[in-house]
Amino acid sequence: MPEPLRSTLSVLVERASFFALAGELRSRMPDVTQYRVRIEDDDRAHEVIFDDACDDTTLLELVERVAEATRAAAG
Amino acid sequence: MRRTATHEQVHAPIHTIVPPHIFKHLAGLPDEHWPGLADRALESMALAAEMRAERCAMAGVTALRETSAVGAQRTVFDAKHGFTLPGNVVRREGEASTGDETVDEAYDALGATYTYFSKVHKRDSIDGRGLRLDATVHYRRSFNNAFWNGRQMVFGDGDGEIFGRFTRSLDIIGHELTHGVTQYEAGLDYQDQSGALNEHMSDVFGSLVKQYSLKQTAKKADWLIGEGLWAPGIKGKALRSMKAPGTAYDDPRIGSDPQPAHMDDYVSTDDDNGGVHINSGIPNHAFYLAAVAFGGRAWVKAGAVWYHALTQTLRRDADFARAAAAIVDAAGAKFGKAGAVIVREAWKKVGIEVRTSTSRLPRAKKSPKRRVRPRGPRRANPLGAERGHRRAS
Repeated sequence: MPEPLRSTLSVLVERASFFALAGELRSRMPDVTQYRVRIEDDDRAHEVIFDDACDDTTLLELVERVAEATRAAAG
Repeated sequence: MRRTATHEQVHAPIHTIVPPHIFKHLAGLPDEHWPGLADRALESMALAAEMRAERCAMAGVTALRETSAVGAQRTVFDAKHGFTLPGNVVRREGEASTGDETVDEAYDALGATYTYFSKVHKRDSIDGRGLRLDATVHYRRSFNNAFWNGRQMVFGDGDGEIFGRFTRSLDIIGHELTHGVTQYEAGLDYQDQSGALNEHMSDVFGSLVKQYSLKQTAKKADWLIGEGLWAPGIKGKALRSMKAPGTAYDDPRIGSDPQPAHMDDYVSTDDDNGGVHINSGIPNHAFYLAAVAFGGRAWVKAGAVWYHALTQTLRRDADFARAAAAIVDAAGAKFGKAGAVIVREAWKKVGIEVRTSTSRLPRAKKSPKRRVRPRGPRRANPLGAERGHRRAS
């Protein structure tokens, strides 16, 4: 993963306390976009499911940064 | 340290206002023809069926802000393409237009929706108790969605390639706000047929908000949901058609509209919470048929019947057959045997037979007596028990 994306994502992962989050954070609201983010970090891995109505904006920013990076990588 | 959060590990909408089947189609497109489209679709791909969990209808709803003021209390905020809600206030109730068409469209659509429920159904806002109508525009970047999060409306600007700005469509805003009404009333579970009925109710009242605003008759109305949402170049009229389910769009980039209009074509799927955005075409078409058969303006009779069922008799776990029976019953209560016959026939035409006899139904009265049921329906919201008292003054 190239810099500065690596640093940006690391900051967001730390800020979200990602590995301490519950795996299921869905709001159950209708018509919201749902996301599943899985992060592998050396010997640990964690997956969180959340959606647009999630109060944790860091998670939403994380998913957007990953999406942007994916777009950029795809050219 | 090795951290990965790859594209394949980011998925998305299971029930956005944009049906998941559209994103699925986009995700499978060859990139050389439409660079970037598949990637953006994957960002918005539906979650797999195994991720479904039993829905707690009221989860995610936070403390509500009520107002004692009479009339709509609208506030529009600008997220400035960020994530933080609600953002900065850009227009309050009674203030002049801002010149930002997105802000002003949102403000006007919230007002139109409030006016519809207030004037037609004597309902004071989403909760029947004057809930403030807050909306945030310019949420995130190229965000292809609009939703109500239990506290407020949120609008994306669209990516400009598939979708334009989501404030353009009055019926979409009416649709989303009706999810709030449903939540406070029948609390229809967002899964399978009850979920399709939840979507159906939002389409019904979303369309009626638009028809009321335009003062259209049922015959003149377009019965489209999400007209104007597609970006230029997309071959489609709207997201859905209540008049002709399955005909709203057909484009190589977004696929074709999969909505059925009859139970013979019911789609069994684990995606989209059991096809809530697909099979809603069946009750949608029944509503259209009933509205046209009643004649005149759809909100006067058909809308009144469906609203009665939504707020008085439908249970959260209703399936199509039970909903049809409840709605026929509501038609009988409000408009007598003739009304019940019209609605029953509409359901029959979409493949749902209601065998309840109308012979015992009361004749139409100017002020129909509220029917007393031996046991009240289970409501998603404890406040539902009081809903008979929650009416606009």
